[in-house]
Amino acid sequence: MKQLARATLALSLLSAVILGACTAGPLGIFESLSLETPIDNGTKAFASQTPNFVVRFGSDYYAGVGALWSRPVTGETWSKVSGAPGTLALSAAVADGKLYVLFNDTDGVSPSIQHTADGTNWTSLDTASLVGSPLKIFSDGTNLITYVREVTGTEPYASEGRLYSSDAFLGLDTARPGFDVLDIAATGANAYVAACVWLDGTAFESALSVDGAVSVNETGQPGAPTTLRGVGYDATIGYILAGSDGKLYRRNAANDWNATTTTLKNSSGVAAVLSDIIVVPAYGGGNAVLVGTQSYGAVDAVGYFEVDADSFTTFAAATEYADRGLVSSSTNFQTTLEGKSVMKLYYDGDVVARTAGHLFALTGGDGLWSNSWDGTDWSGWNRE
Amino acid sequence: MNRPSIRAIAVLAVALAATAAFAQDAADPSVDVGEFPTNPYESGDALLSFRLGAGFGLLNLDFSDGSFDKLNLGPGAAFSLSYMHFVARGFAIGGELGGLVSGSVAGRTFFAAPLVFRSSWHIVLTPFEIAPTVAVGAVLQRLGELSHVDPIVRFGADWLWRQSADWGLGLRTEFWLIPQIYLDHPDSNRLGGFLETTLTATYHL
Repeated sequence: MKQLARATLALSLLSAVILGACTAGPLGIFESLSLETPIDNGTKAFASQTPNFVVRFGSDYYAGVGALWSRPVTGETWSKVSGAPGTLALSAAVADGKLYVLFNDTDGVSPSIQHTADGTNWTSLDTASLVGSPLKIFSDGTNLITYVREVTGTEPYASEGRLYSSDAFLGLDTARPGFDVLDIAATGANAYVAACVWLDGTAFESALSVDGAVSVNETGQPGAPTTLRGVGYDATIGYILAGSDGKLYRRNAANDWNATTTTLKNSSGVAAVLSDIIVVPAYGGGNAVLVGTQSYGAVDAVGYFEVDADSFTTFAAATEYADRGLVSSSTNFQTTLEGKSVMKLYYDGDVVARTAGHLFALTGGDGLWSNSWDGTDWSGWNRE
Repeated sequence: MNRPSIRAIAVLAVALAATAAFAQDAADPSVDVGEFPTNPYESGDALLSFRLGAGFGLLNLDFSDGSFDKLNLGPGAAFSLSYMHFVARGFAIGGELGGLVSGSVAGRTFFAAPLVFRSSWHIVLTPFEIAPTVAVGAVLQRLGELSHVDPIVRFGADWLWRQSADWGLGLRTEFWLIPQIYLDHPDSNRLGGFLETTLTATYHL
């Protein structure tokens, strides 16, 4: 019997020693549990979906999650927009006092751009003047910006992309092979920067459109295989671009680019593939730069990174705020967006007379999430 | 701590006090149990037990300020397999491997796998049997990406109906205390408490 007792005791101690090497993490387990907040199930139709967009128009938010959905800014319940002139909402923009939505299947015209001034009555834009099919729409704060792709060859496949401005579709710059627009950030005063890619020979490279004028192959501009995948704007920092190599970039002038020294890495220590980027208020004052990540090939997503906006004083020195405390708590982040692909981020900072805001995270396959700012604190992430 | 947790601990305390009272007589295995039928468990006997039931997170004491926080775990599943060897009449020692799985309010899964050295006193009131028990050991815990190994102390009792000379069926109620110690960030040190209530099947080897 003594042998049994010794064996049990030895096994217990041995397992404690061996398993004691497990990662403890930044918080204790019971401590982390105590900090949890309940996560709602959210809108059932949004679960496991990849939302295409969220925009605010008037007193409502509109979301493209398959169909076009809306909810009041101050409400919680999403419903499909009755009478929407399409079943698949691909892209949306608010410009010139109207909500523009790109649908892919309206009355046999695919795709089509529809707009409404009241959320109820829709008008279709005549897109006959576009060279190619509209695939995405954006806003420069005032005007509609439309990205159009023309298929120029089928075997092998070849395409050219262009940008058009306003709903009169004024052509911008020349068409480029393989050109695609991934994201746009605007100052709100007819000025914008678009993060783009284009096909330079046989390699996709970064392209940058500044108010429609495309820059490629500049000194300091990230080259193949790195592409620019997202762009955000802050009045102090300027335009910040997110690269597929885990670094952030800024174009000061032609052939004058900044890049961060630190590479943002996923949990495996591999450079994260960054997606969208946005600047929002931070706990404790100041601003936070949020940088989404996406799963890409063998590179895992990590949700998003937080970078203290103040650290951009010297752009290259901008560093990650690893504690995730700028717009959320560590525990809230771990229980919501950690490990998820955050494809797009959208912030509405004008909910109640600029004293509150809503931040949305559009994930790749994990639905729509939001986080509310009351002027001092963030509520924490929860499902929409 | 919320009121249901306090009530549960109070009920458990009363139950343990009652079993402890019986245990006074049975603690000395050399003493015959008197008015009770002869204890069938003699030195050299052994019990193999299977348990399956529910586990409840009840206690989350913050060592840094003495406050009680919510553990934020829902009802979970508990299970175990134990082997007990009698070293004297009615007194057994042995080992047990078990588990407790529970979902948190934020959708994470908490898992605890205790490996313990156990002693138990078996008081037979034919056809019933009460076995107060105490166990100590180590418990591996995991929550999302977090994991940790801590000591564990468990105390409670098995309440059995002796269906035959070989089999006993019944219920275990046991409280787990897990002091979670982080030497590198002591602000995270906590005392966690769980209540296990499991259906028990015991085979007399």
